[in-house]
Amino acid sequence: MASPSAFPQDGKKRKNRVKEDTGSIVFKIVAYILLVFGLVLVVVPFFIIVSTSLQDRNVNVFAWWPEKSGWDAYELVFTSDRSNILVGFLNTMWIVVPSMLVSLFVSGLAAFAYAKLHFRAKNILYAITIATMSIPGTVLMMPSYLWYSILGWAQSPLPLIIPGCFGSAAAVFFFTQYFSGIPQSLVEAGQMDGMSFLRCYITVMIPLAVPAFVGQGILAFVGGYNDYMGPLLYLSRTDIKTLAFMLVELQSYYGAQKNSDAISCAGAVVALIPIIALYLAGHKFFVGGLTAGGVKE
Amino acid sequence: MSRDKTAVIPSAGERAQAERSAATRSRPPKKRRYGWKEEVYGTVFASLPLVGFLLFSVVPVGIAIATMFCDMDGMNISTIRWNGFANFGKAFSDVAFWRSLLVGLEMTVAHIVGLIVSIVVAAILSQKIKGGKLFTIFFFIPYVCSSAAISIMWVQIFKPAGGVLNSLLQGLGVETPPDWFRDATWFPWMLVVTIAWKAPGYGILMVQAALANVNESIYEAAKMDGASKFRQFFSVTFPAISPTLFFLLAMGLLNGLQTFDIAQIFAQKTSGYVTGSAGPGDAGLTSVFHIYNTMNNPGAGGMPVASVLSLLLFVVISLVLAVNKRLSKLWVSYDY
Repeated sequence: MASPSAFPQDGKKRKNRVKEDTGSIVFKIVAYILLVFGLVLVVVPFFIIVSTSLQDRNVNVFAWWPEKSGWDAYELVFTSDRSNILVGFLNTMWIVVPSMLVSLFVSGLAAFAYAKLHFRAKNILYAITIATMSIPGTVLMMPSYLWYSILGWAQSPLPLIIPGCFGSAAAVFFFTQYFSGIPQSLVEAGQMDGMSFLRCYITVMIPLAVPAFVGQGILAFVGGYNDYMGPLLYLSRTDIKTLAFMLVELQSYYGAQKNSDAISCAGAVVALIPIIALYLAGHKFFVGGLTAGGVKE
Repeated sequence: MSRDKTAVIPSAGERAQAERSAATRSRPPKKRRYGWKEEVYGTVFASLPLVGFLLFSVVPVGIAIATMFCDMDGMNISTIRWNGFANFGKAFSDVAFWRSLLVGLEMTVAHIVGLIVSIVVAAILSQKIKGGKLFTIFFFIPYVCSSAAISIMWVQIFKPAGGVLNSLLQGLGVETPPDWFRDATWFPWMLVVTIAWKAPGYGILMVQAALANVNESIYEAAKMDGASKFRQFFSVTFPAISPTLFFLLAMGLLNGLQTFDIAQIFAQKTSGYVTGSAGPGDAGLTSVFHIYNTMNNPGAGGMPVASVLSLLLFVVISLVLAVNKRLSKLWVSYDY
């Protein structure tokens, strides 16, 4: 590096610089070795389920490259009557997506009020909303079962749909931050035109905050798509099986007769493809939504 | 409902305060043109999420607390009858529950390992390495995968006969690799490895974001003062990212003690190999899993005892988080 030194006569400084350069090359080599090692650790398990899923049904020993590969397992997973993965996928969709959309709308509406309207109870309501985030949710799952069974919702998808429709505190927190960055004057202009508050939220705020909505939407979708405990509690005795729940059951259906490992791996591969594709497509929005909640500004 | 599971934020108090001021900051100079209308709409819009919280968190918890002092048949609320503190007696003398807390602590090991891995990876990636962004994207993939799919993956890997890991171990000269499915000492560690594989993605993102937020001028100042790279890390970088590390540690403790999905699925997948309901000798019985079993088993007390156990778990988690918070005063700095 021949950058002109301020002290050309200072040979010691030069030497240091050379040393630093070799140091950074060594650092880079070590860094790449570690990163590639990490990458291998992340990728190999995926490779393993793919190759297991293509395994011949009479083989039960793992091979990195299955000798006789067949698509039997996939065929079965897609055509079976009892646990058709397409049915599981559709079930997941209608349970997760509408609730998620309503949730986004409601969370955004609350955030709109916090960021742009003034009303007396604002600070106290906001403090309560944020405080609800610190309650460990999993602990509440079992005690809630009784309430849903009193409502007559146990063993129906309602407990997975309705509570979500009221928005989530984490999303309110995120949207409030996001909306605070949108100029108040836009809202005021809307009100000058005689827009109602709801109309103003829909026609002014939402279009300006599309990335925020996409990000929170993907987050909520991933959570719902992967949810296992909810369907286990509320749908295990119904015919409505969500994808994540079905994956676990797949193997037990075919346990004895066929190569059940290939079948459950095929199911896992099919279930993973949409969510990984969604993540890769939307990771920019996704990542912003995740880190906003945790980094202390 | 369960979508908020991971959104639990321990330092909510401080966050609330910080945010409250952020929420008020955007308030324009007072002009009460919209008066009562704005008052009403604002209150209604803002309280919608709280109505949900009231209906689906406060009410159920209230009912659960009321039933703790009662007995009933299954989920049939009409058969409810007072039985005093019997459920509490049952819960406190429930050895399996207290043991499950230790299993939960074992699971937090996975999250702590994940945290250490995230710090190392994020530190490397923050050095502006070529292709760093691609690595970040790839390392996050396990985080978006369902625990169902991940469990299937790792069951394949740990499978004692013909599984990948044991073939590898044998190839490396380990003559009798552990029988992961049947050996009670190894069974929980199998869960730990699975969780640790999934855990770092989120941490890497968070630590990276924290590192990017460190003020460059502090480094300049440190360099001026002749601080070595090593010194720079401990005097500048570490204090600056310590609030994020504290947050991640608290989340790790919380998620570790609340482990359910992976423990339950592994127990199901290995049920052909052992007689226990949660791995060999119930070695993989986490607290929430035990509460789930209690709820479904009237002989063990059913719903009321499960509610008492949930309350106990809540208290234990709160204590652990409080201790963690107290200890954080030794190493977390909020001055940056």
